[in-house]
Amino acid sequence: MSDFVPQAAVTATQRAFERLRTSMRQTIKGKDDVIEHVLTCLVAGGHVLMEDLPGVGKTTLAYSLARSMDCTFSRIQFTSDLLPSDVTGVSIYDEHVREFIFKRGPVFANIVLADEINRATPKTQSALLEVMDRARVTIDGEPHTVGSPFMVFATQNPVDYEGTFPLPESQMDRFLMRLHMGYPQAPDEMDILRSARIAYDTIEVNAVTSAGEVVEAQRLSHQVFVEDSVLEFILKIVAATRTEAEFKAGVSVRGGLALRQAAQARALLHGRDFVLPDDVHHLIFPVLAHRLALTRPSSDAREERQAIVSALKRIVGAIPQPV
Amino acid sequence: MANERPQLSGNELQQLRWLLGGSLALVSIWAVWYLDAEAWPLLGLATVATFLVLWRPTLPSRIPVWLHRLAFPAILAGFAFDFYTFGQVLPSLVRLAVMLLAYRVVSYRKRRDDLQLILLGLFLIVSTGVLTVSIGFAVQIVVFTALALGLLLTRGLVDVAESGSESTDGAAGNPPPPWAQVSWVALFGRVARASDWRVWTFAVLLFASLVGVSAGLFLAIPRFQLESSLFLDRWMNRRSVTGFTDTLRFGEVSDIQNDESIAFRVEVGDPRRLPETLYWRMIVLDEYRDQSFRLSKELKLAGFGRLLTDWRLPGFGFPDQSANTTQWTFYVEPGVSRYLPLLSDFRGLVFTEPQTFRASAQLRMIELSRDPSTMKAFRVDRGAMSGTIRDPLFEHRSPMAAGRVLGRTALEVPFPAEEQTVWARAVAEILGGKKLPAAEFSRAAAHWLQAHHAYSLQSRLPKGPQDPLTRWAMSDEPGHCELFAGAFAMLARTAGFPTRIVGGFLGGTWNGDYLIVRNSGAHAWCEIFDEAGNWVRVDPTAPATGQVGGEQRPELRGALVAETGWIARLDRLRMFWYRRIVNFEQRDQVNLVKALRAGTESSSKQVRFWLEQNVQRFKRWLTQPWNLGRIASVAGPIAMGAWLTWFWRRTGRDWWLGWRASRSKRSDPIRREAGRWLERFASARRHGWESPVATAGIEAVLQRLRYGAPQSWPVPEPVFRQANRVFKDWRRAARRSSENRA
Repeated sequence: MSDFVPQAAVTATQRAFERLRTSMRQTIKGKDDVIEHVLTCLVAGGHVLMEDLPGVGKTTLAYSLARSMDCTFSRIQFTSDLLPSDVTGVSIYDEHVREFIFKRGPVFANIVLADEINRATPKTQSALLEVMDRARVTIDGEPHTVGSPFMVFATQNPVDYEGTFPLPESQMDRFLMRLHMGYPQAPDEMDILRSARIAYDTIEVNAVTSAGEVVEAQRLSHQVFVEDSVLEFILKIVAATRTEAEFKAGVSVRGGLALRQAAQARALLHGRDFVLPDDVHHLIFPVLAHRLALTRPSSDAREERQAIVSALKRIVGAIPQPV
Repeated sequence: MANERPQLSGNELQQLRWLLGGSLALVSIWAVWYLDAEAWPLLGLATVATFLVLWRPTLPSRIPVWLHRLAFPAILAGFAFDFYTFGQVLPSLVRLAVMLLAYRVVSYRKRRDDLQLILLGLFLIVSTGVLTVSIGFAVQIVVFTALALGLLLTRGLVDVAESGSESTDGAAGNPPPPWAQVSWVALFGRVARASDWRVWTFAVLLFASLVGVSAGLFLAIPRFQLESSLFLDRWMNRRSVTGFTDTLRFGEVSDIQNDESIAFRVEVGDPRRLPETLYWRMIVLDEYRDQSFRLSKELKLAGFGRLLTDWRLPGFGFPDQSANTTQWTFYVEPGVSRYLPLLSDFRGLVFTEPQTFRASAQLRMIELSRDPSTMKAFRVDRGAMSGTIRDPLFEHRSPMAAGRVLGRTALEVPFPAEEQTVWARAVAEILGGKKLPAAEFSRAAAHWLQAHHAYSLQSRLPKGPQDPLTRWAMSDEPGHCELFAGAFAMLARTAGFPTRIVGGFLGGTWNGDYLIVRNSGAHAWCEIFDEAGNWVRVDPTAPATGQVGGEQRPELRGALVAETGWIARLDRLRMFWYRRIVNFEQRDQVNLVKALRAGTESSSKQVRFWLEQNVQRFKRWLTQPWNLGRIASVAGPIAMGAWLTWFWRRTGRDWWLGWRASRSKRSDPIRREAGRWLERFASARRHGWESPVATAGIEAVLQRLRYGAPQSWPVPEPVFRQANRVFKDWRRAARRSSENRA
């Protein structure tokens, strides 16, 4: 963070991600803010939890991101009988070489779509979460590094909870952001209807940037400067969630760090080598809301999330931005 | 609902706040008209300015930033010039307050500035009120209080309405805040619709009753002397006077002894020199008449001087020369007595404030003109603690005086002949046929009394036709100190020794570092005139063994015990308060202020003289013929000044800001300055400035200065200059655009 970032590198990164943004806009209509957050998450090296109804473009978003940066993409449909080895891979005996060889699971890709993650058992969920945390899989004591860059798009349906295993708060903390796609606006939906799209893997997307450029951006983002008053702003927000009576527990230290990393990534995407308070302000809700739980939980999940966002808004409103 | 009252918006509350602030300023400024502060032009200007900004609240936004920045230093410079030129402290301060008030009125105020406005107004109102003491002051302070309360309330409401959002208070150099576009008629209409008449009525009644009660108390209780009040002093005197007067009836001291309340407190200068037993003299009673001892008229006329009003009194008698620094400070509770407790001789006495009193150097007594109804404090320098009092006047009394005035009452045994015979027989028994000196006689007489009588507060008098004192003395009944003292006096007088009774207090208890003397310590004893010309203290009361002069009673050693418990702790708090409010140096402070004022006037005269001299010298210098050398002597310093200014702006300022930044991380001036500019740009954008002027470039650089890494900063000074230029261009363009639209 203290290292000085060369302006040329910042500008190059900004241009690369501008191309990426333009490419994704062609497939995901009218969701610029979601694309923005996904790219921020990518640069910050985090993972996204997409919470929305089926069929609003979550898979397409992940697929177009992977294709736009010339990266591998895999999709795992989580079900209650899915085993950890179905995700991470398994060692099988090869008669030809007469030894166990590791057969990689679908998690060995750059962009992994974990569809309906809450339908799998906690054991399988944990297997994925371990990969998310360490970016590697350990089988029979041998580590296997997953792709670089590596990003997990987990999705879950916010309405249908029957037969699911909700992610505990400690595991929710591993996702950098929770995003909602929402329905598109009418003109955008009209564009989608006009297009002859059948399935996400039939979309033609050209690679506009490389995995190497993304990794370089991830490295640079750690060097983006954060001034003390901005850090204090983050600290005040985090501290305020811990004293708020409506929340069962406040944001963890990891949550505060996540907010800082995301703000650094956003600053880089905007061509800056320093963070503005605005960067933090834009990212408070996607980064922090899913890390909080109400003291009195509501029976309706959507209502509960709304209540969390309202309380968070009130808290943030009372904290002045540094001038 | 149709009948629901509308709520005032944030802008309307701001408008109300502006109106109340302006009105408060007007009331404060007008108060100064009553004061001869020679500020007529200033008051006129301030009044006009206040009316203007009330009429057009957008006007403050037209004041250039540089003028706003210069205003405060200019006002301070004006005050310094005013003070040194005219040399008057208070008028200069009043003029300073008017200038500051006017400055606050014509600028947009934040919360802190509103509080400053109230404080400045309060200073003007109170200064005027104290100096003029007019009925107008009462009206002004009431109106001012109402306006100040209203202003504080609206300030609070504005803060609540704007909590969590951007403040709309406005700032110098920024566009006018949205509420500045005001229609007062519409605002009053809205306020009327939003108001509930019941709440208003209740508030007005509450305020009026508060003002009424305050006014009543103001009239009833005088500001400085409770004695001057209309009626309260009489209530208090009736209730609280329990102590000594100039007539002592038998049993009075005993009544006082039942009172456990505190009579007075004493700070002792040197506790190591304190005797074991302390006799606090208050009153001397020489005449026995109508079964009571009293201070005779003759002695009062001869012994006391005229009525004085002063805060200082020269010493009595022959003070303790060895104790140069011994000071006794007395805090006498109200109602104890108009006679002040003293030891004996002293060098000088000081009251905290001027008192009306009579003093008797001969009797070592001070009598206040009336019973005090408040605590009285006085300090005695070099107080002596001996049991003998020299009285040359009594010693060298002329036969006439001795017989008629000074000697008669002290030697008088006012009984019929047959009773005097009884007393003579008792004296003969005491003397045993010998002729004893005063001290020896005192011991023998006290011994005789104690042999016949025990000490008791519940005394019994045998029945009979004789004087009660004779009946008691010649019986074996127990008695209290007055009876012992009275009987001793009669015995001594019968033996030919001038004797008098003394009323006062005995002993005391330590509470921390001061002594407490309670009413229960009230006591009566005697003073006998000996052959050496001294009045010698004799305490004939049992169980004493006829203590004479400064002798100490062994059984009373350690009588000065310490008070304990929470009552003692509470009393220490009270003493702490007394010490805080009592100020013996008040007169010295007044003298100091007078000296300061004289010094200021003298120095201001010197400054004026110096200025006049230099102006004359400059004029002479100007009228001399010019040559190259003189031109160079003028141009040189000017060029040097210009170069220094350029150098400062070019390099020095950056170096200075950098140096300050390196010393203090939190208050980095470059970041602060950049933050101010960013806020100014953001505020202009919020207020809808539209113009083709491009600001993004300069804002990006300012953002880098504000939030970027220091090693990536450009040179700050040119950035701030460019920001200033861009902002001015932007403002000009925005004004043109606004005028075109209009």
